[in-house]
Amino acid sequence: MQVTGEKGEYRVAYDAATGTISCEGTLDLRGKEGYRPIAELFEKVTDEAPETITLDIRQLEFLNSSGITTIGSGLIIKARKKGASKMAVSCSKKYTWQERSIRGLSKLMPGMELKFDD
Amino acid sequence: MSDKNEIFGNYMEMNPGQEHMTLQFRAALMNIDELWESGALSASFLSNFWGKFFPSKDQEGRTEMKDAVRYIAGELIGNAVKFSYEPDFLIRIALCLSDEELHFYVTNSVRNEDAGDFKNFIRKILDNDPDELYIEQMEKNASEESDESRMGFLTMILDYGAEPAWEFKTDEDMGIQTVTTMLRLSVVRNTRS
Repeated sequence: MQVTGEKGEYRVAYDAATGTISCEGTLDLRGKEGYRPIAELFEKVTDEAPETITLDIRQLEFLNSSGITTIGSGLIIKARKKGASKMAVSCSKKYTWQERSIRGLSKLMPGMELKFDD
Repeated sequence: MSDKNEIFGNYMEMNPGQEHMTLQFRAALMNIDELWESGALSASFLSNFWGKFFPSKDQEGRTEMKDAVRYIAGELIGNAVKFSYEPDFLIRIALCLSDEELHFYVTNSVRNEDAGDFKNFIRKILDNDPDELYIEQMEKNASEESDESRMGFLTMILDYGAEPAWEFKTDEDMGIQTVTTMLRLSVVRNTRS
């Protein structure tokens, strides 16, 4: 299951075997409408409810506020409300926004695991 | 016509004597998708430009600065594009460097009915704890279908320590209401080798 940008600017893919959602490239879409296909993928994953949902953003160069909102409200809060999956996020220090943005997102689900690559 | 101006937050007029760069574009020239794309390109351009003001030896400071400018400029231009309604009014983004701060100024036209909602939102941001608002707004977004996520300013404040302020005024020539959003971002430049 995956969603890609028209110009190849991003790729969001789900690997059911590992429960991992990988986000790569630049996510600078316009508002909720722009993020709808990604929100739908997130919804399918939370419905499928693997034991742990791992969000891997290590190759995600850029994410705007609508993208942060989609991850926060469309994935993390949905997973917390469903109560069936734990959540982990794999981040990279290479992209400075990740350390900044993940702090706020981690408050949405107590116990969410954060991993950082250098 | 200063009596018609309305200020929110710690607004400072732009000092044209400072190092600055301004981009202006007319919304009427493009459709919304093209405008969005050009806004993202402008934010990337500004980010690369301002990164050069950091000594190349301070790679970490330069990268942080570039990433912050790209995010903030992208959010502010995105808002301007979204809320502009007068196609002939020039949307303007200016970035101005002082010793320890980078100041962003973005001006766009705003409908009277949107301005009321916007001012209420501004008061909410200025009068409340942004951490609490962040969580409240995220929870709201998870349970409601609304077009506005309202997370842009909150993430700029919380994740980048940026301080916003606004000036609403009437453009006398065109007889329309405009809003300038100002954002102050602290910068640390390690100029020593």
